[in-house]
Amino acid sequence: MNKKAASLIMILFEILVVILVTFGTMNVAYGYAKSDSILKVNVAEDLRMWVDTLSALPGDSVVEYPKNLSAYILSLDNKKVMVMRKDDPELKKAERQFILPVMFTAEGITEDAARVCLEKTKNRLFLRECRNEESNI
Amino acid sequence: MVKSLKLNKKGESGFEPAKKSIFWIFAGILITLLILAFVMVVVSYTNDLTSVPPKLKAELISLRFTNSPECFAYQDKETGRVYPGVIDLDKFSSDQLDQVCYSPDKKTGHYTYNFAFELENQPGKIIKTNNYFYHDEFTLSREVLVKDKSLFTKDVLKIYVQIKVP
Repeated sequence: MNKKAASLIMILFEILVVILVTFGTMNVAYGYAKSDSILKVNVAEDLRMWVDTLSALPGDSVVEYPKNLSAYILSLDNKKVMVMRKDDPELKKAERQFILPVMFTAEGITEDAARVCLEKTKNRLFLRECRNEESNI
Repeated sequence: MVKSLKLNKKGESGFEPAKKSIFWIFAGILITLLILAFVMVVVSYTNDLTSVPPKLKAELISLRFTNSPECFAYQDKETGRVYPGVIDLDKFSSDQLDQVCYSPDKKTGHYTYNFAFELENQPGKIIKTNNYFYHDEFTLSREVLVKDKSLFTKDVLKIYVQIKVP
């Protein structure tokens, strides 16, 4: 192969590398921009703070999350709250842990619920879909 | 006098591919580092968007200590009424914390919030959660009433907050 051909191949190779690197970084940026992982984490954090607050206060109460969460599955148990989409792999689920007072229980799961409520009754925290009469809480 | 070394044609043509190989080794390492740095910037940005101030988290967790009868709040035995902001001195103990109020897992609890408590008018008496190791990040203060038998006195509850011990 003569010198000219070799340098042409090198130039093509270098252009290919630049295109691949640009494509790769654009893909990563687009993936992060498109995903709703930030929303899921924020919802999980909010619910965790709600659990801490409600378990601290005497009396019964109901609070409604001020956002449409119909696209997500929310799950609450005695140790953690989880927010995810139906087909999410483990890595994409947003999970936050909390510590309840010993006599408290927390439970509930919502799916396709546009309005989500967290209810405290005595020592029980229950995550559920809001009832129609519970508007403007 | 310094003699400059010159390669003949054979030497030069052999040197070209070697020069390119060395260039691409360094370029490959640099490109990998750049991509890693880019990913770290994006991850750091998303973490900033979702971060909650530690003081806010600590405030919300510590609400229970002065408001919940499972922790230190005074509850009238006859009426069942809870008095938020009134600390029952009989409940102000590490046992109450561990057994009822706030008990992180004994093995992994040092990764989460832990607290120590001191009443200003009773210095030296510090009660703490099970994974508190005096590694405070900040201190919260709450004005409270303290019920000791039938006597109510004004006091300040200091809450020493430990966020995480690796």
